Amino acid sequence: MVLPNFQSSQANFYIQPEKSTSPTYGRIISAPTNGILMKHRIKNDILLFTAVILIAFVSIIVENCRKSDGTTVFITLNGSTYAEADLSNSVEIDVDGMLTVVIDGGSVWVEDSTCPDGLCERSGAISKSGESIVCLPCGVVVKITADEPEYDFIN
Amino acid sequence: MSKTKNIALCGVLSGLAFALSYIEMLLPSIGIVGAKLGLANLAVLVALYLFSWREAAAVSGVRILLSWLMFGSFTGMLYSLAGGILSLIIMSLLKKLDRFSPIGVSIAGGVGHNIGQILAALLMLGTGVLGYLPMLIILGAISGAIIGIVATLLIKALKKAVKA
Repeated sequence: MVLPNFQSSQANFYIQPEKSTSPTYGRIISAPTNGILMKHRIKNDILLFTAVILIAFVSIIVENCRKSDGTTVFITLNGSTYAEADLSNSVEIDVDGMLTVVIDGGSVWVEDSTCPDGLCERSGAISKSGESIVCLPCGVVVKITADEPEYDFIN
Repeated sequence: MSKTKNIALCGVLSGLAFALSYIEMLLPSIGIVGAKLGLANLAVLVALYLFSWREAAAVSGVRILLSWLMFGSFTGMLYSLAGGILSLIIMSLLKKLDRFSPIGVSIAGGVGHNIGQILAALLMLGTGVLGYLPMLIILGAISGAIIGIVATLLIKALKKAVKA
């Protein structure tokens, strides 16, 4: 099967030799081998990439500016509130036997986690409002809030 | 290519997706919750470009199912499923638009996968997870770009085999 080599950008790059009556499953969409990597597409790719990275960077910067010193530590288990403590305390809170949340000297961190990946322990300590530590396998979220709510989407 | 060979090739791609997802599990995590490299997206993307979104959905679905049965928890599977569905929708739409190369589609797919996982985590665990969103988006975009480059090579090579 010989396919014409389309150079024009107005051409349909995915050429189907005949309109088959067979179902979509298994229909091979043929194209010239340089079809999928046309120059204007790579340009769009780069645009997309930079746009995504920019948006993410901007949200990090905005997030950091909005951070203020926190006052309360919220611990939620699977979405519902498990415990609440003031950040100025010095306590160790055992969350359902799965991990221990330590609050000391204005910082919060996680110890003795039974989860398989141990990410919650390795993510270190948090101290500012809006920061959080999440243990996905345990379903635990440790969040610091200030008096005014930061993210007000759900709950 | 005959229908049986198509099915066989999809099977191979599913196996590839599963193997990649296992390798991903072995790699040390970058320290952010669920920051997976999205290696399995390679197979889904190849299936999308060699065939159609239906085959890509099948490859993705089989991979999620197998990973759950062999390695995961139910909630872990839900996160994967959410990420996989959103990723597939975004990738299919972008491919239909015909304005991006597989690299761009892969970038969007990787980002979509991570956003889908965060959305699922949002529903399960509340708004505390949103803090991870920017980093996950950046990582998803970078890994998507790399996967996209590899996938383009694969697609070009396999297209010749599929034509035969």
